[in-house]
Amino acid sequence: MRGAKKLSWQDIVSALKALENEGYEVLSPKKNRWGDWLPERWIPDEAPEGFLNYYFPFLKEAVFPTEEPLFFLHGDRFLPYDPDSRKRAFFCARPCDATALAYTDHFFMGRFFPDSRYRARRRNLFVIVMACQVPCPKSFCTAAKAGPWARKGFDIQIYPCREGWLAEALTSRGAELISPYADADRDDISRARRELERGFPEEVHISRHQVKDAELNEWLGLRCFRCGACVWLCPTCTCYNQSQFGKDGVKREQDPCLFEGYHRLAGGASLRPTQAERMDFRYECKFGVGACVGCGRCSVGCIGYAAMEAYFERKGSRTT
Amino acid sequence: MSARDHELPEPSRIIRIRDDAPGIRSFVLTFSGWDEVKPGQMVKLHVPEHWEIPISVSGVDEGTITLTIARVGVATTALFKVPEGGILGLRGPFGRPWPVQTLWGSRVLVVAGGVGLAPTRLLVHELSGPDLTLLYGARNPSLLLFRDEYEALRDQGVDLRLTVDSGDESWKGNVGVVTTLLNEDTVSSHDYAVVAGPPIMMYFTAKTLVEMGLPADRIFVTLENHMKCGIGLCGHCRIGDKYICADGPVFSLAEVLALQERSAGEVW
Repeated sequence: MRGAKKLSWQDIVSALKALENEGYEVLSPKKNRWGDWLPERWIPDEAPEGFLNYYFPFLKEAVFPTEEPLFFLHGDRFLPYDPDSRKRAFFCARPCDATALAYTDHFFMGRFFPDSRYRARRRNLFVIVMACQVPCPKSFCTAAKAGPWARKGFDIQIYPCREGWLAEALTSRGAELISPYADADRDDISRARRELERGFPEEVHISRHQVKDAELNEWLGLRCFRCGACVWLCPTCTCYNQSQFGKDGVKREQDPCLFEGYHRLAGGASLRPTQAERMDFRYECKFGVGACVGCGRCSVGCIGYAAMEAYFERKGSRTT
Repeated sequence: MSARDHELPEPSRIIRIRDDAPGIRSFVLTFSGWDEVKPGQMVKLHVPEHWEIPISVSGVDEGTITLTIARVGVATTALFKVPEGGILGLRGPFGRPWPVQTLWGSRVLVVAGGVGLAPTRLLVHELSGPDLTLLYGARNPSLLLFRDEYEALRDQGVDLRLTVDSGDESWKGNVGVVTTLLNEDTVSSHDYAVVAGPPIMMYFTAKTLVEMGLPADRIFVTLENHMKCGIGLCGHCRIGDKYICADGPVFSLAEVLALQERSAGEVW
């Protein structure tokens, strides 16, 4: 943490205006007429009352789109398609999504080969997390250490408190943005965290070394409709496939590991021919590799009762 | 790999195409990264009007590399329609190569099956000499690859033994799968083994080698059939916390057995 500050709502508004002056498109949750929350251009003094979280992981989409063209053959040269890396600031991002962003940052930039498209977009993304006061349906972010407040993945995190708002910065650009405002005591932040945690019981136990359970995988596999909803909605799913784009171009698109085609090798062989094995592969990733932030979106979106909620209930580890 | 772009292919012209066997061709391609290729590594090959496929390198010469490819899927079928002079795309090389430094100076047994000779060809040339034994099998005599090189290898002292699953009238050699060439004397007289070929062939060969007394950490295999993106990002080749394309594709059998233990589905 690079500093604790006390803010009024007017301070928050002026900080967001400062971001706009720096060229950021500031996006804030806005409910449309059908009741869906979408990130729209921020309008001063319009607070997102009643916002829990987006149904779709827009923060991931901002750095890793579901589908994007990569390159194309032009004459005798390959040319890249430019990534959409305009400056964007997400106001009221949620801790689970910021935690997921920290995971995808490591995945795309901290391993074998950095992904230049991801990096270009990430550099121009400013994340302002609003710590959560109310748990989302079917979420277990406390157990995943991704809520109700974020440990990583943000520039600024804002906490509600009795006197207004508290803010902490994790990055230098975040610290710079809130530097004009009044200092707060670090203990105030700790108190605000404890206050929030009281409303978030830890309902499940997550082990990074889940014991393989063939019967559970088979049960989940039978229930799975292979629609891929859990993958499209997951803020940490990053598997993709390459395919043709236009005549001589190549694109990448997210590829759900619950689809049979994901596991198909050249010539038609499959490493995981059953849905039970594909379920095992998915949950191994979410827990073994540590890619679940407990946002609960997969459980909300699953039409077959085969996502995290079912996984934990069937496993019998839900304690409430 | 070098600072050359790992994300964007470079245009590569097909210099020469050679029909090695029915359904198997070698493509000699221009490639600026030819001098960075190590035995066992692969490149990403862009097929026009399709996408990219990971292919291991079977040969290197100044300014060119050779890829030996079996026509098995949509992309390779399209590739076989591109004539000499056609433009493809290449990026790489990627992946962990065969442990050449470990193998140098040791008695090495290379067991290859079918088109699995391609990813071991550079290694065989590197280690070529009296300390190398090459056991190579194919389904039938017409599918044996690189036949014009056998004599030269034998001249250099390589103990080359061939087998086919089913012979014809002209075939005078061994008939049977490649493991029929293994016996305890052969295995015990070698320090290391390198195995490449179809998954089922690698599985049974590795199993037989262990049963005949070769330790699992002295047997190396390639799991290249898992690979897709080649740079550890697309996720398809993940087994446990390892990404075959970036952590491998060459692994010791001991590593593979550890992976198998924590893998969802099959490794082989």
